[in-house]
Amino acid sequence: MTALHRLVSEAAGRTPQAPAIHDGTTTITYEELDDRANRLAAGLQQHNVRRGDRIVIHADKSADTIALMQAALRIGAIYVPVAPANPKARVDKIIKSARPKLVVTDPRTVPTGTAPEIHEPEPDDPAYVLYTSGSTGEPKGVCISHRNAEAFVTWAVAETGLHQGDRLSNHAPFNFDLSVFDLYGAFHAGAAVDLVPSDVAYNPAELTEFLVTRGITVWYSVPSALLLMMRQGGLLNRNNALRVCIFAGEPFPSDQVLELRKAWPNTRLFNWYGPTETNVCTSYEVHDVDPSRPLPIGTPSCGNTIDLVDGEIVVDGPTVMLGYWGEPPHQGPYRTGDLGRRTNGVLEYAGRRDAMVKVRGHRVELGEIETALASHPDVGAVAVVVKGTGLDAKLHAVVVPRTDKRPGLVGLKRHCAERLPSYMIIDSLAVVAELPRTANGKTDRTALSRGIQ
Amino acid sequence: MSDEYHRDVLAKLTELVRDEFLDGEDEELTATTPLMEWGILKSIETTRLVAYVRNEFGVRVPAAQVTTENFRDLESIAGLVTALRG
Repeated sequence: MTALHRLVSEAAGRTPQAPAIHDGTTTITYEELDDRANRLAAGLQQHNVRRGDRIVIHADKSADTIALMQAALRIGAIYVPVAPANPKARVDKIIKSARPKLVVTDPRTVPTGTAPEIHEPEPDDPAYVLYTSGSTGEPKGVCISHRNAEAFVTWAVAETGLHQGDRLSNHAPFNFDLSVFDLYGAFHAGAAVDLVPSDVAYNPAELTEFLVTRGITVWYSVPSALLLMMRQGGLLNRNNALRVCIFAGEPFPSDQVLELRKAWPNTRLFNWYGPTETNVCTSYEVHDVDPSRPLPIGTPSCGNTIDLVDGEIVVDGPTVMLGYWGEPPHQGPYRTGDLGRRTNGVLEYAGRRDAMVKVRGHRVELGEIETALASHPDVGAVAVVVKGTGLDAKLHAVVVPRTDKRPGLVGLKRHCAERLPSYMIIDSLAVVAELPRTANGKTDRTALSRGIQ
Repeated sequence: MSDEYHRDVLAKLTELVRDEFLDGEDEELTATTPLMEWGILKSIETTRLVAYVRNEFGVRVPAAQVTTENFRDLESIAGLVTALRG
């Protein structure tokens, strides 16, 4: 296992001239990145930033932002990445919670120095804090240790066979844990990471162009981004250099994974699962796809163990977070709040525990209805929400068509009726061009519920 | 003419189901669409439909006649209304 804060220095020692980061038309080598991180680390130390201090990095993705993250790790400071897309009110809440020594909005303005004193962290020292949305509306800072991150990165590099010749995409913002693989996976392997500009993150044509023309060999994103590229970006009609394609963060409708599987017979496809609190805790490599079943989330990864407690996925092992910043340390296994089931030895995701709602007196799992509707040939993406409360509660489906053919309510009711108990048949339907997304690219259920109440 | 009456009832019931229970959508909705099986007619909707038949056609459907057989589809409901008119 290689320590997180040394990955770049070690790659720079092996292959100093190899590209580390591609950012638009700029490329910086491992030697340059290592040097930049050292100069920033020295500058931070001269300005009294010490071990355990937080640095909020509220800046767009760039090589300089990454160098600053590296600098923080080298002096034992804790970085807190915050995507610029966050509204000011949320950034203020994060700053109030993290109590940082430094808030950086432009990494080029950070002072530099020479010869920093490199801090050797203990395995349980915090490395970074990723703020996620809490159910109460207050952002929660998931505090990840060096041990947590290293266990994930080491496993992920081996699982996907990353090597120096790879070119990884970075689609996710840095505050989203998908980016941990893109950056540290690349640095571990001495490979290059190519930053997808945040303003094209959901532009299907530009994303497809990026993947194809920049020779990406390893892609990792939420399914939403891939589905957009498939439906509107012509992804499956273009040749590409992809060796590995990974998706995580939300369910990928299995009939569309099948489409991907058929179009790319030689690309390794992985479905990863895990909340920010555990990073990736299960993995499934997609070989054959059964379109009538949800795509499995697979088997435990990173040395973790998974238990199903009353159907809830409970994770124990080296990637379970230290805790939420500002709260007492987390102890023992982590209850994900997600439901799972084991089918033929592999885990399937069965929706959120809190998505369990009561409609017409029955306990209804919205994820189960979504899975059923997602298998309809005219449905590209779907979210089911509850409209109204109590006796007036109704099941409302919001659907993105898969092709030009508009799915109809009668047809979808029939589709539900053939697969689900009658109380789980949808009551109403809205057909939309795209589902609303959160800043991290997942379906925004809060926005959907707000829109129809 | 019983046939003409039947056609009229069927047309009006189709309109009701489409406008009130299906948000105005009529794709795939035919006289033989299985209304109960596909969750288009649930208990609340069935009650509303019985009230509509009474107000619109002056036909009372006895509770014993509100069966899954009689309310299977629009065709069978129209048949029931035509028969009950006497």
